[in-house]
Amino acid sequence: MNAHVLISQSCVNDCVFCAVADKRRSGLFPSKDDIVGFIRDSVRAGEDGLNFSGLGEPTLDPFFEDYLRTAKEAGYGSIGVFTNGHGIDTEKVRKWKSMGLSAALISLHGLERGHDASVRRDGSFKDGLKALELYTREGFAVSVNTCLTRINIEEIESLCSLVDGYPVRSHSLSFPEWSGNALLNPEALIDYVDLIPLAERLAKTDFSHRFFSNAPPCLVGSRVDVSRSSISYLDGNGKRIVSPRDCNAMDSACAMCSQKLRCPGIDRNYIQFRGRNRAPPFILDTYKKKELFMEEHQAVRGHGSVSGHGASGAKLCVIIKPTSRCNAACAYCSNARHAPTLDMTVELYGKIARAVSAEAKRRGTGQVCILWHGGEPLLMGKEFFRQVLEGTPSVDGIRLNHAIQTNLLLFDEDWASLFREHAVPVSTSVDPFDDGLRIMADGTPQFGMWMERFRIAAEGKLRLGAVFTATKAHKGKAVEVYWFLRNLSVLVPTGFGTRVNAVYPEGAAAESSYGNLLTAEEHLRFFSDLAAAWDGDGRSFPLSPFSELASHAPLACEQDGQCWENFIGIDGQGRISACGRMLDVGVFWGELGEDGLGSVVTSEICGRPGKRNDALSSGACAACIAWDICHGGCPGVVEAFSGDALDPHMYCRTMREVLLPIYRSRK
Amino acid sequence: MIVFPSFVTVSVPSDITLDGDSSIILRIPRKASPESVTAALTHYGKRIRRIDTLADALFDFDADRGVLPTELLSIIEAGLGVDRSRALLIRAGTQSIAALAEFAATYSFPTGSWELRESDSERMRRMLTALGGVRAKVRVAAGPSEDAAASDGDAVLAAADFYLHDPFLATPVEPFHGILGVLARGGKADLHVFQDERRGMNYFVSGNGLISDAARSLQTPLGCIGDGWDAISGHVSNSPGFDAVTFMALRSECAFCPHFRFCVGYFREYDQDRDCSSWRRAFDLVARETNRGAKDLEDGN
Repeated sequence: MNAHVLISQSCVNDCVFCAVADKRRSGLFPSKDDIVGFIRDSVRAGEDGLNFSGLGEPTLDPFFEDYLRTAKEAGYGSIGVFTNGHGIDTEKVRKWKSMGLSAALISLHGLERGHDASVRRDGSFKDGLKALELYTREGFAVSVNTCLTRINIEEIESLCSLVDGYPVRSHSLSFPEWSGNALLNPEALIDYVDLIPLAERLAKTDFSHRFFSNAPPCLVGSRVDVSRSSISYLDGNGKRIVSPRDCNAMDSACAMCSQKLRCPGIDRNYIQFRGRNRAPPFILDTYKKKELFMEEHQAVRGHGSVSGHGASGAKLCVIIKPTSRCNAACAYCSNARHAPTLDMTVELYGKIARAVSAEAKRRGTGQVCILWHGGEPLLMGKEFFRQVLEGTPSVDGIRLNHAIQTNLLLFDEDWASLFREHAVPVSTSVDPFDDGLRIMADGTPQFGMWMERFRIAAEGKLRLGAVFTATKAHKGKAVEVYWFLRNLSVLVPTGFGTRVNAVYPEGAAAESSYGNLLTAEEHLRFFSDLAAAWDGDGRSFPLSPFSELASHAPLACEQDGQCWENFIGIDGQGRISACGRMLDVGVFWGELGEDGLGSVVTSEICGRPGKRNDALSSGACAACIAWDICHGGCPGVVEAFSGDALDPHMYCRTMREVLLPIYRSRK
Repeated sequence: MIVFPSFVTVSVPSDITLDGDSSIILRIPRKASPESVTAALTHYGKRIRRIDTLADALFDFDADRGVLPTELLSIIEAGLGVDRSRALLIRAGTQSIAALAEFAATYSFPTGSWELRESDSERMRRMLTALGGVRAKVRVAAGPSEDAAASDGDAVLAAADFYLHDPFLATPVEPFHGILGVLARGGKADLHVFQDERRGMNYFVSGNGLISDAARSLQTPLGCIGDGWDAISGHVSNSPGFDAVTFMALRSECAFCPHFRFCVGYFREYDQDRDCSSWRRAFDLVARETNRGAKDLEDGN
């Protein structure tokens, strides 16, 4: 893994596609001490390469040479710089080489016209070309990067010929990242479909050292960047680990694709901001009819009746995933696809606590539910949670109520004592069957150890909950599942609640090619049997989703039709999403910034899910008798199955035939 | 010498005296003398929660005559100062039904508690009828049958059926009465409670001074009355007795059994091969009838 550090606070260019322009404008830069520490720490962590990239042009950083010296002393195998070539001369190149710089990635975004227009500065192309000449002449490992835009796309073949005249190691043609300036200049950016004719034209040229970056192989062929590894990264928000897929998504249609391991996926912001009608062809068919439907629907009903994210008076539940690490390897984990991210720090949690409290205040609610999730949150250690729980019981009069979802494998009496002391309810997942689904990281079954830990939790007089995830392996076992959960309650002297979910195709469940998923018929049968067992037992046992339906209590988040109003997900790096599931999916709304959650949760993008209710209730679900208890189900789960949150839930027959009768049976 | 703390209940024979504050279930052996019983009653006083005795200790059924009943009952009544019907448990043996019924009627046990062990279903039904006729409360013992060969496997089911359906029933038959209450009103109660075998809460002291979780676990004692409390209590978590977690973790059929909450592993904690099917059938019947009754109530029937 290479380490990337974003230095410099200024740039002479103003690229129409600059992905970090917003960060530069926000003024959030790493300090010199942070940068020096990162350089030293990363090599100790085993990273053998270091790249200086920039929130501006890295060579303009006044401490650039200091950093080079630090990097050389630290002993990196290679030290590179991403540069636009501004201000370069032979003396500097030679000096930097003597200071350890060994590689350069030079930005050339077209020929002179296209490049200068793309970066919005005359003379920039000449800078870049000069840099190409100097770095190659001095024996650097030189690469060229070209970001593809509507401005330069007709010049790419000529540019390739130009670049081929130099001894470059590689030439990457990048589909732009849809962030920063890209969102302000969408007219300048290409669509995914534009890659297809370009790839066809370039296929006739020498492609031995050239590849497409951030582009799906189904559009550009096999010449794609296959370095899917994560990078360690430092910017103004601190250190993090970034995966190429972090901002991207795989369509459900991609699950069976033989190229999926090489594929970066589709940029979610592209879909969100430009719309789905210009999505790649293989998902275009899926989205097209939905987009048309939405347009028709909005023409009739305006912009929808929902109030937008975080309406006044709405409760607030924050799902925090402080780590993506896990000591288990469950086959159906929804969090298993992504590369590991950095663990949350207590300092970041402090920011979160202040931010969510401010958001609660804005909503006029006096408390916030904080659900710790993962990964496995207990891997954060007792000291982390002790500081979290003891440090911020409330902020500005807003009470922070904590709960945790854990696999319990690290649980002991000390954890029980800590959680009891702070009245933290503990929920866990369980599978009592020898089906190989819930296993430890080394492949051994979890159940024996889990049972012992559960006993400690139960004897610790904690409020406990247990979740069972139904998969294809559990066909015909619903009654056993019911009685197992029922019997677990015997061991718990205090409150005990249970829930049964069905696995959905995200993370490991998706990567196992849908082998664990229940068909609609199997789902119906499973939950029908489960409901019959619960009903036959007198309905007294708290089993979600049946209990809340029978008592007409508030529905679970996935059924209440306003989940985006009440939930926020935040990961260990401070990235914000709609909820825990959407964190797993990798849909991020933004990051915790200087202004806390405010600008993120009030942005237009966060209100978009609200239109789903109107779209479904007057469209695909218009005639459904179960609408009031379903509301289309979890948008994230639906999207994971069908690729489109506007599709009806694939298990909606279970809603109508099992859950609705329970709801209606209340006297 | 062990001193049990106040929060535990200890079953102890009347010829052993223990100091401390624990509650006492005083067992009167078959050939107990009035003097020893008097001494025990005096010693334990208000600590006594119940007196357990055998029908044979009160009556010589073979000779058709009382052994000590009048004297013993007088002592009990004087010593406890409470209603004997709530403080006395008589363990029925293999006496004839007629003799048992006559004894119960003659010696004024109209509301006394009786413990019946598994037998054949016909004998169970007749004993219940006889004791019910004198308004005696009954507990069906969950321990192994004293005469396994005589058991037809349906005696427990017969007892549950009697409790649920006998039109003249006027007094409870445990554990079914308690289980019905749990099913109807919620809460928790399992056979360990009905059998005074709650782990860590109930202890059994044998005639020779050994201490165990229960009478049926004397082969694996926790210690003896010469030990200290710390030593005894420290052994409880390692005892082979009640450990519901173990049953669940072993993925035995108990983990998925609809009646686990009523037994919590009671039948198999000392004997993995114990056949509990007769009890499961009885629990099935009680649960089914309870749910049917609940639905009838909901429907206004």
